[in-house]
Amino acid sequence: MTHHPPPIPRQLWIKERCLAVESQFSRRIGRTAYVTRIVPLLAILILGYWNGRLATPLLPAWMAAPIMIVAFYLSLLVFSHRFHDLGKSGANLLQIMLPVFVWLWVGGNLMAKLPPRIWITTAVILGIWPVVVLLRLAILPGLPSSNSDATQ
Amino acid sequence: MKNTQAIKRNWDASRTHPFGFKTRRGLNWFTVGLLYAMFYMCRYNFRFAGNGMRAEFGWSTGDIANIAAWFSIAYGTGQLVNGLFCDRIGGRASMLIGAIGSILVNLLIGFSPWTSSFAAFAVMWMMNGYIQAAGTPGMVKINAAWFNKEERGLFSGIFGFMIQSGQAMISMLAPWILGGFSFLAIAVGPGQWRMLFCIPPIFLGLVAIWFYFVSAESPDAAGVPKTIQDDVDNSAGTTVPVLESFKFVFSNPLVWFYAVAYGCTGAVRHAADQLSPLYFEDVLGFNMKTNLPPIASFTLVLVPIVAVCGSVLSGWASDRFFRGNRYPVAMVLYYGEAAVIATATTVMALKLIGPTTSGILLGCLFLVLIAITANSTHSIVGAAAPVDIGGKKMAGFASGVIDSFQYYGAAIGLFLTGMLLDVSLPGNYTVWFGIMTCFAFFGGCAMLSLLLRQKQKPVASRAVIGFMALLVIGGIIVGTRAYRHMKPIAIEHYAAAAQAAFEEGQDKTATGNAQRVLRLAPGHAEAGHIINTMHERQVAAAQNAMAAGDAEAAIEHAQNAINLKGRESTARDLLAEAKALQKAQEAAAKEEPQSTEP
Repeated sequence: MTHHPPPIPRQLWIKERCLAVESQFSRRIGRTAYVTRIVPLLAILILGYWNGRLATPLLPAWMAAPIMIVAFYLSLLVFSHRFHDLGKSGANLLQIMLPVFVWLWVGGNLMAKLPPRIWITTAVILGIWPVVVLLRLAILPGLPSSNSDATQ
Repeated sequence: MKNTQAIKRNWDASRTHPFGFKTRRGLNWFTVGLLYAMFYMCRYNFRFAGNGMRAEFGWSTGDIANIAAWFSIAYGTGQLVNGLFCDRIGGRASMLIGAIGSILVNLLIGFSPWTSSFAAFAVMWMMNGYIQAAGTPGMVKINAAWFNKEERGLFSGIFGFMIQSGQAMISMLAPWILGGFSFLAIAVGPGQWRMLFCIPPIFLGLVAIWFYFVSAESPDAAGVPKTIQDDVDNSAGTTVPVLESFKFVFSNPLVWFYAVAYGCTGAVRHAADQLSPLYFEDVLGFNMKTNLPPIASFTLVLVPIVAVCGSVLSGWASDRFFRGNRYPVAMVLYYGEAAVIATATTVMALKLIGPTTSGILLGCLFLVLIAITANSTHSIVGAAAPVDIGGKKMAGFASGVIDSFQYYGAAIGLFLTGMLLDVSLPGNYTVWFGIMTCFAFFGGCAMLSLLLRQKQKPVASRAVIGFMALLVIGGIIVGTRAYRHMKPIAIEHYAAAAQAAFEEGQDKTATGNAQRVLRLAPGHAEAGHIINTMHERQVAAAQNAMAAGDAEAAIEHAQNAINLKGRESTARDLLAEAKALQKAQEAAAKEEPQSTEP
């Protein structure tokens, strides 16, 4: 039977980075902060998606992609912080992300092959719940006490 | 009520980890899963290269199918052997060896103008199958050390997602490669199938480098010790001697219950995956090559999505409600699957599935339902159960044994389905659904037997095993009788259809029917005559095209002739001559503009 040697410095460095990322996520924000942060972020993401679908994009991909990645990461942070404020796990952001991901994965194919009424209906069905969640995050008041999801 | 609270406490406790652990585990899983998805890119590239290989080497469709079949056998066997060694050398080493081996074999095929031998390609692709089989045990073993028992179901659901994403990546990349592309100073023309074996290995190589630097064998190696409780062996380390792993896994009855059930999953999943394009064409009347209808594209898009959802949900349910026990969920899924497919069989037998609006909707709905159930069992039995059995030290071999059965089950299922579909009348896929029902029911019985055994009811468990043996014997008797009954009817029907089409000048229909008759009755005179006549026509057309200097047409006709008679065809030399002519013409066309320059 063999034993693992102690972790090598590289693994300890990765561990430190993971701790830093997790501490970024373990915070909480209120309704106003949520709205003022998420609205511009969602606007950037929607504009980026629209830009990507243009035959000749206004912003070249090498410029748009980093902006989109940063906006996406920041929106994950904002959603998590707001869920933490409501006393829920940040993983609840999947309620918004999964339908969007399904649409992005499938949407291009559907739009190319299906009649508009079918893909518009699909988009509406997929979009209902994420919109409800987005609104709930903007409306519901946060928990007055601290909770296990948000350490800061 | 108390029981529910206890389950909830257990569930919450299993998910409480030190700060930073979940992010580190997520990064590890992402890295391992990405590498595994890249393995799929270097495996499914063969599907897209088949046409190019046929055209270049004059192979028939059957030859391509044979190479794919040999790959499956090598892969299944590789799972057994590599799984055993994986427990000795560790999951990371196993995955890296698999990645390096697969890169080398793919590049060998990609840079292989040195051979056009069928045997050489078959051997190389079998080598790829064998070495790729180091991937699954390695991935399962690494994750065994990173997840508590009550968390592994969800992990197995994500495993299903990784498989689908690997397939999706090569499905997007392959048409781009085959369409021709230019990148920096490199320009590749359209139809260069060898590039399919050169570009995916680059991705695999890059991800393997990332994997080498980022992944960790266990939380201990990542600097987060004593985070995960291993129910099998909680001592330090993740590796064991080969003999110890072999003895433990082979003597563990749980492995064999799951292996039998997983064989049934393989039979259903592969039959549904590989025969659904034919089902769309033959039963629902779709034209899959030129004019794919929206409902077919919608179904093809929906299938991987529901497959992923089914995998994740079933894994989560087994974690959340059954304390990480997979067999109760798997049993319900197998019986549910059997019920769904039995309904499809009945509906098919009643001729309610067909090229009508309601028939198409029903036909597509059943495919989607089968995809949910088959992929759900695939994830929890194939990925979560081996980890539960082997723990972090022996999950590799447990996974290897169980996963190998998936491929053996698929081989048996596809062989039986192919045999019975050959003697079915056109548009009748009742046997396809029927055989899948039997396998799904059999898988459910294997899980029921395991459930009874775990509940300390050995007599009832053995009674179920006895019932399963009777099912096999009954299935063989009924199947053989049905085959004997259907065969002469099918020969008569297809021979008459071939003759009628031949007389009407419908060459394609006549050829298809005649080939089918010859598969069932190799010495059939009328069908043999039709094939010989068609072959001679194609050879003559190829010779005429050669005489007229039309190399492209000559290649097409020669290829058609080879597809009719395979290796017995006399058109193989003609194909080589036509290709030489085409090359000479291309060289001449390149030289011409240069010579006219002042």
